[in-house]
Amino acid sequence: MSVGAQIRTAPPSGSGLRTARASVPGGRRKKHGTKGYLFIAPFLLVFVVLLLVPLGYSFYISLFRTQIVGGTTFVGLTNYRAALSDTLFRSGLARVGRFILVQTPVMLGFALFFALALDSARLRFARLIRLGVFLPYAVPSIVAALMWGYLYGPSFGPFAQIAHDLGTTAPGFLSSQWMLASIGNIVTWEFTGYNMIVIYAALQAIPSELYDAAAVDGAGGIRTAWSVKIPIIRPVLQLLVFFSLIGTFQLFSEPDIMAAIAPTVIGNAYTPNLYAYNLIFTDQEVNYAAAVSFLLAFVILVLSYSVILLTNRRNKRS
Amino acid sequence: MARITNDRPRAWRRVATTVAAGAILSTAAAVALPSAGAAHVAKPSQSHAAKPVALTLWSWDSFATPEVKMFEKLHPNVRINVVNAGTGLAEYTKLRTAIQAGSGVPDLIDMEFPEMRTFEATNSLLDLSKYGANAVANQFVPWVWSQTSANGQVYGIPLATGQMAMIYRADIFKKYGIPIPTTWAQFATDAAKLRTADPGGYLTDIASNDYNAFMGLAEQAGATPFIPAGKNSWNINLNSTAMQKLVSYWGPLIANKTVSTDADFTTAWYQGMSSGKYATWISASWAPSFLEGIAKNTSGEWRVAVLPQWTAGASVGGNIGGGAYVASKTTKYPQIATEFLEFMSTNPQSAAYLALQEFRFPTTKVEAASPTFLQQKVPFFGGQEVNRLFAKVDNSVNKNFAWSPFNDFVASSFLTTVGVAMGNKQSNLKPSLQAWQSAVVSYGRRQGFTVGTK
Repeated sequence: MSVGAQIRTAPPSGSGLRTARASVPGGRRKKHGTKGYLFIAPFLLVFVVLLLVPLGYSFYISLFRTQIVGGTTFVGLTNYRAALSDTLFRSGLARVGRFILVQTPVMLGFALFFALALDSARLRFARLIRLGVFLPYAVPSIVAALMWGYLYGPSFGPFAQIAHDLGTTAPGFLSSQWMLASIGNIVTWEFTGYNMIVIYAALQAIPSELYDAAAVDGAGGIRTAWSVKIPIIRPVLQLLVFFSLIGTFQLFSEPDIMAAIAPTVIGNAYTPNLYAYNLIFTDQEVNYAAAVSFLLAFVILVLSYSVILLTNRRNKRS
Repeated sequence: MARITNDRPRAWRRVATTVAAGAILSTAAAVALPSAGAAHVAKPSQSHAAKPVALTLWSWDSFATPEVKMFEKLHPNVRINVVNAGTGLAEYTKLRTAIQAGSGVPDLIDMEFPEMRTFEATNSLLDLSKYGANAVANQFVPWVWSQTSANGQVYGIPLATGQMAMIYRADIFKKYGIPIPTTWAQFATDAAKLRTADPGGYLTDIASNDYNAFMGLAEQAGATPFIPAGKNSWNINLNSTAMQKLVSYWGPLIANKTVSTDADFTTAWYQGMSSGKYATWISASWAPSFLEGIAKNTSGEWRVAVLPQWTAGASVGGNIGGGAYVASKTTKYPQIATEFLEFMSTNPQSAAYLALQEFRFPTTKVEAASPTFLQQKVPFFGGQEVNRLFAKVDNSVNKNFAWSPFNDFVASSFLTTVGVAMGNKQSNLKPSLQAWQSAVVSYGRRQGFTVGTK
């Protein structure tokens, strides 16, 4: 998805964008021919075959139970009921919930900071810095997790070695106390650049007249950022929160890689997605895994919708 | 999908196959010999059929090993395509997916003993007894044969074993004047002594993630957690007196940090092995050559000793890993598959190659007693005749030890119960043992098995 597309799909609630929308003539709806569908046919085909059909199929299998002994029987919503009271599933959800509460604000804070700094045109090596912050996003998350896994290493990792040379010990990054923070750090490192670019693009789209007006009013750089830039790009920030929420609930690769170096810390249900995966591939509980996946999707749906509702209401008020 | 975490603990159970460089057995010699492996098969051999056939073998190695070539020489119309399907759980996951899909299932599969009941439960393995496999039964070491057969049915031909021993650093023991432990009581005293002498070292690492190693120790402690009780009926007791004895021993040692609980087969653990962090490795007959690969710099310092005993003077052993080649139920060539499996372990050339070149501990009585094999002096172990020691403990393994029909679940729930408790350095591991038992029993019942808990 291109950066531009994301900005355009942002809820048009900010004052600057609202005026643009308002000018679209409402008028009588035109009758569409079938030609339009021809154009979207390739997309529709992929959408149906690769998304709707598998989705429908997994919902279908989530209503059954396949036993090693006894075969397959229809059980209705039993799998869902079991998942709701499954402590492994619930603790995984709670864990990603905690993760989101801390990691998302930190990551978006960094992204906003870098974007504003770049937009201020006061940086000397702006292009280099922009590239540098963005680069981790180009590193596949598997590679990133492997790399950080090495850095966190308790005996051979550089942090541990530096700490050892200084006569102290580094925190156990891979211990159960630190693991969530360690993964949070990896995710922040990976995605700050992406978020920064999105925010930066939004900042670039702000008409310069507003800055002139701010300057006339006597606003300095920080005041302009706080009172002009941030309010205007708020829809973009909301969109990024929304994306982070969806992405983070599906956390998988990072804990999966960490499981290879800290197996007992990660276990098999560190995040709901990891749990669903292990249910299928080690526990042979495909049906139950489908139910867990659907519940996870439902939780994400509810939370995302609440975020949209909440921010929309707030936007209306302001 | 190949999963990265498949390199997880369970990965290494056997030795990496050495390169075919040691072609001590010229293929010409192999051809000259009669087909010893096939000779005893009652039914007419399919392998002499005029039409050429091809079988697929899923192995942990990617190259066609010389023993496969030997078989092909003797059976010109048979091609065995060796495919590297990954190691351990990676291979089993792929196999399960292929079985579910109903296509792409190989004819022959490399499989560890603990996993066999699991694939028997899903009715995926070929019963080789229908193709004459029982005829070779008496050639095998009894406890080894019992790992692949039950009630006259044969689900695989044993290829390598993993009887346990204590592998230790002789230099570290000497340096700190610590006696080689022969009992677990002495082992605990030694462990404390080493900790005081060398704060950076541990007498051993009891890996919190290694279900197989834990079960090996449980086996030695006298536990038989899985007892078949008829068709799809099992008696499961992971919380027995023997298991409790085991965790009561290790719990305090773990809590006092007298022994470490680092996850094994990880980079940090490899480093610990080569840096002398662990003075012993409680492992199995596949371990010596594996160790040679990961801790080259410590060559000459290691020795192998009999496992410490619960009762002084006893000789009770255990087993970790080991494996067989099995045939899939859906193979189109069951007769040839059976002949191939028998050939691998019972053909003298093939068996010798497996033992001497690939360091897989022999499963047949003849090969396990072969002088060439027993007298092999290993420089890595200071010239010790390592094979002789492992051969000695071969008969101390419990013949009645069986694995569960859902091994992957038992292993993964070990990780989340006992493994986590060990990782958290809990002294009292009994509650985690109870939690493990409950998880396994309820899983078994959910999967339709009749489960008793005696």
